[in-house]
Amino acid sequence: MHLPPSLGDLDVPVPSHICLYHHGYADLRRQYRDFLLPAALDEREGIALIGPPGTPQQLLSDLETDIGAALRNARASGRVVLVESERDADAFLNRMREAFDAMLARGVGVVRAAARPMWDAPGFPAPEDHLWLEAQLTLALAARRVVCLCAYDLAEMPDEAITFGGLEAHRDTLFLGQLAHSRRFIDADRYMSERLLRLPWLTPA
Amino acid sequence: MESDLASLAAESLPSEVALLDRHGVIAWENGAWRRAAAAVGDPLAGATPGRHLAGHLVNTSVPDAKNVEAAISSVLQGHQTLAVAHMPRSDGTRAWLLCIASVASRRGGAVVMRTRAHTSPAAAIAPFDPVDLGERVASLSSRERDVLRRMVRGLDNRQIAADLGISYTTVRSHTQAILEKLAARSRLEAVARAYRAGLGAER
Repeated sequence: MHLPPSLGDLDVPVPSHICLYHHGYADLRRQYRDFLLPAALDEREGIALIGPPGTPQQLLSDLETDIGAALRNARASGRVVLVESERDADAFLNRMREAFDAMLARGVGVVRAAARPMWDAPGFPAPEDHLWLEAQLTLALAARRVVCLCAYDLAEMPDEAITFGGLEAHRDTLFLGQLAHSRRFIDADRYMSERLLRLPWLTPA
Repeated sequence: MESDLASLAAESLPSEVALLDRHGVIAWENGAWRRAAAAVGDPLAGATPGRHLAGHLVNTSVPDAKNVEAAISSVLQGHQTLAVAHMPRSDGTRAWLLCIASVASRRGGAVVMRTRAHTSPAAAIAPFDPVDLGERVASLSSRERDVLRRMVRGLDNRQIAADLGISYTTVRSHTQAILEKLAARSRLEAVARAYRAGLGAER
């Protein structure tokens, strides 16, 4: 079954791991509504809401408000799942993979994943582990029918997150409705040597 | 004003260029990222190629429209440098026009404009004594070293488990022990310490 996902008028390849640049939560909420609405209305699609503890619930609540419909049945059936992060990046990665696999196993054609990563936040991997996780997620998604948007808030996130995480760990970026290849993307197999082992705060003076 | 300029910029952009901030622009085009030539008074001078430059700008310059001009100037000169410039809102109009000019030139580079600085997000790891580090690494068991070597290669716990023929749960136990023995706050801190100790060099 092929369900071409869309972001507005854009066709999005499946799988995709996309950095969504936004400005503040209101902007993110609007863009996630547009991204997730087709899946909310189509039982052949799944929705994964991902973030630090409490955040997926907030994303779901706001989505339900914005689309004017409760998604409790979809949640009960496992078509909509909430994935909370934890400090252990590997465990968090595993949790996401298992959530995707469970949805795909139950027959959804594609999963739309909306993630809201945080930088150095409680209940979320440390910044360096967050970057590692982003690179690993690209590998994990390669074999799964998932379109994953990772939200990077230009109003709040530090420059290191915007650059190392957004531009370098995602093959594609999305902003103002424009999907573009990141010229600074570093393949996951090179990300360790070319970025992670060179992170300024992990490098002794 | 800003929305009109954003529309104008969007219409003039080649497909591979993206706007990245409602209060500014980031744009990139074909070509490699290279160091900008040092110019007198250029706040980008001396910056390391391929690295994020916000700290450099903040440390060396008052974050105002002059930074934006300097950053865009480097782009216009074809140096294709990633430049991060912080711009107070009062200078927005002029900076926007400059950005659009840089984008329209289609000569590459990137200009990220933020309305305020966001830097120093992660506390640096505590400096470690090489002797102390050596002792800590020496305290690792043979199996923990096997796991750590694979962590340095970037493998996740599942991959490590498959590679070593042990269970995922066992690998998790080993990674926890490694973090404790190396006094690391995170997986990558342990990796960085192991790498500095030469543990990642062997295969």
